[in-house]
Amino acid sequence: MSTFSKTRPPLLETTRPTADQTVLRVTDLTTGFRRGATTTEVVRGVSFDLRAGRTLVLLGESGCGKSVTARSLMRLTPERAVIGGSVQLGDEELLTLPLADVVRRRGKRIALVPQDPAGALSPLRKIGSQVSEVLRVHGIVGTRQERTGRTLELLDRVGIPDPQRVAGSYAHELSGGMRQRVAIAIAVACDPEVLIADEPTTALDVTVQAQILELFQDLQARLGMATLLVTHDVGVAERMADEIAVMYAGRIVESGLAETVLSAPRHPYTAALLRALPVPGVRRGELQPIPGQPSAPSERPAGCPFRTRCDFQHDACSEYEPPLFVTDVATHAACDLMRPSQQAVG
Amino acid sequence: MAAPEFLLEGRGLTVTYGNGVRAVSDVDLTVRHGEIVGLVGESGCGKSSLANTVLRMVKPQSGTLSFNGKDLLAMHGDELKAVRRSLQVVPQDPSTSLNPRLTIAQSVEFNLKVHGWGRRERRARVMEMLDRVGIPASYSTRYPHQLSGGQLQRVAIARALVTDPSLVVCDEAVSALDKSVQAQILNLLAQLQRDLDVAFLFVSHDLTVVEHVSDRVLVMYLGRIVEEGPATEILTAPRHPYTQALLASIPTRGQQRAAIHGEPPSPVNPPSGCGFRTRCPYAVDACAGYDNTPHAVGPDHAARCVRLDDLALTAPQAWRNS
Repeated sequence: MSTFSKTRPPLLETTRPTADQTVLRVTDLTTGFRRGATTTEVVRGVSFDLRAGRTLVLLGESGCGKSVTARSLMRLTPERAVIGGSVQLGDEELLTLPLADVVRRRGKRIALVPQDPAGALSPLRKIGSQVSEVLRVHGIVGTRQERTGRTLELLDRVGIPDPQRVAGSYAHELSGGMRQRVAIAIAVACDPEVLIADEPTTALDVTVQAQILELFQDLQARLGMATLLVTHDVGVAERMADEIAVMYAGRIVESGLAETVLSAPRHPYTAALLRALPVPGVRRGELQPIPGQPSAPSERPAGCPFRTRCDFQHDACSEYEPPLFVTDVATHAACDLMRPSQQAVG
Repeated sequence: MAAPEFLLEGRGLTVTYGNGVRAVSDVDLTVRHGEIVGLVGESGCGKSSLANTVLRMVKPQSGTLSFNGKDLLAMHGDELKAVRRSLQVVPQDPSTSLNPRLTIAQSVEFNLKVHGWGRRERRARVMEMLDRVGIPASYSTRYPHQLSGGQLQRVAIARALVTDPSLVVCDEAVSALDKSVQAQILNLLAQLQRDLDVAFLFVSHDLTVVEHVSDRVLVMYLGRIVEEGPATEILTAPRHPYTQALLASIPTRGQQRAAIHGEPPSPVNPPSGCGFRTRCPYAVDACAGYDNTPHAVGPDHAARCVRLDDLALTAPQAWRNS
């Protein structure tokens, strides 16, 4: 048993990065999966910054590499994954740090809210012990009694109406929404600087989703963590994002301020994705689907990976894979049409 | 005998399971010939139980159900099998509903075989139907694992439509698909409905999807239809507080507060009167004594709420402008 008598840090005020300060910097992140002699790259050169008190939404469809990106940051990838590039948390490089040290930072400085809380919570242990475990492992609260108190505070903080009862319950006794609140309580238990939420509301009903999204906003306003929210849902992105990065075929194809990206998309994929959604009040037959489907990592066309589905395909598209160009609306888009000389031509 | 007004007509359907769960309470459900009816609600509201009742996979405790004027609940054996030819289903997850050991053409053909089509006729019909749903002929010998989710769902639709049904039940048929692919399938369903004059009962938790494909929408909460009406009206002029809350819960820019709090009560022990009153922002004492009679609020539009006359609900204004 630990005999350290730690002074209990205040629940809300710790030495935190000031608002908008970059907390996590991802540069040229590349994740591949080994299979035999070949490695399939599913994340290819992704870069972004997470800032304190701000939410970056990673938006994309299944298989685009958004979840692998999120998991690579915490090195929560399977053993056959090869991760390259750089992930800097404060002044530490997470990709070269010994794994044991990364593990020590998980849940403390960088925390994850999973998509499926039912799978993330132990079915065998009561909720209270699972929440207090984080506090114990990271040495946040000294005595068992203090931990119990802090656990109840945490459950209360995430909007659980009857913390005492829930702490004594098992995961299967709770609804999906309540389980997700518990998972969030565990994630924020140590006041992390970075919160990564991987499709946190996908498994929930829409009315409960609205409650959980509200909770995320409240917690961020109070705790000021930098948030990476991974989602396939444009509506969720619209509601939550300060900034958006749209992923396609393992790369960020468009990024910028959320409002600008959504109202003035400059990459044909982003524009097509927005057009494909059923808009309330617009009648049937008017949906404009994106033709075809994303190609598997092993069959990506040369040049721009979206070109085979793109309305604006031209010769240059097969010649190179466009990097992110600065657009006329100060966002970034990886499309040949946004190449400076192209833009000048208009 | 003249053709009945409704292709499918269910009255007072109630489904109770052995564990005391009353999944469906006194539901009236009608589908006209060639009509697309959307059934929307959150998990546990009873929408799948209701769909399964229509498919005769769940037996209701009470109520009547007729299909093409015949009593569906009284049918057995060969008679039921014959009806199933006109009453087909597209399940939620095509990757588990298609036999992995059959080619997709074989899967579609199997449905014809079951219903007694001859060998020669079968082949031609299968190819025609695959073509109709946009699956190239060269794919017909492929196995399910060689197709994408969207393609598999097209195959599942072809399989359902190959027997020339008059009603197809789609239970969360696009929920597992990506949005860009979902749009393809929704357009396909609308196209098929126009071309083949087939009726759909389209079950989903996603109100925007339901509204998009449906002529008429039923909103279900805790086993009851709380509102039903023309799709556009439901969306632009909801009359039941739950419908309004569903609309207001769709995430959009600038949204701050959740529309309603808490979660649906247990169907084992539902509240008295209106099932929604425990979460309803407009609940008053009278709600506990409400007998759940529907009130007409327009042509083909009805809602079950005790405060219909004094509530002025509005649709959320923040719809995406595109």
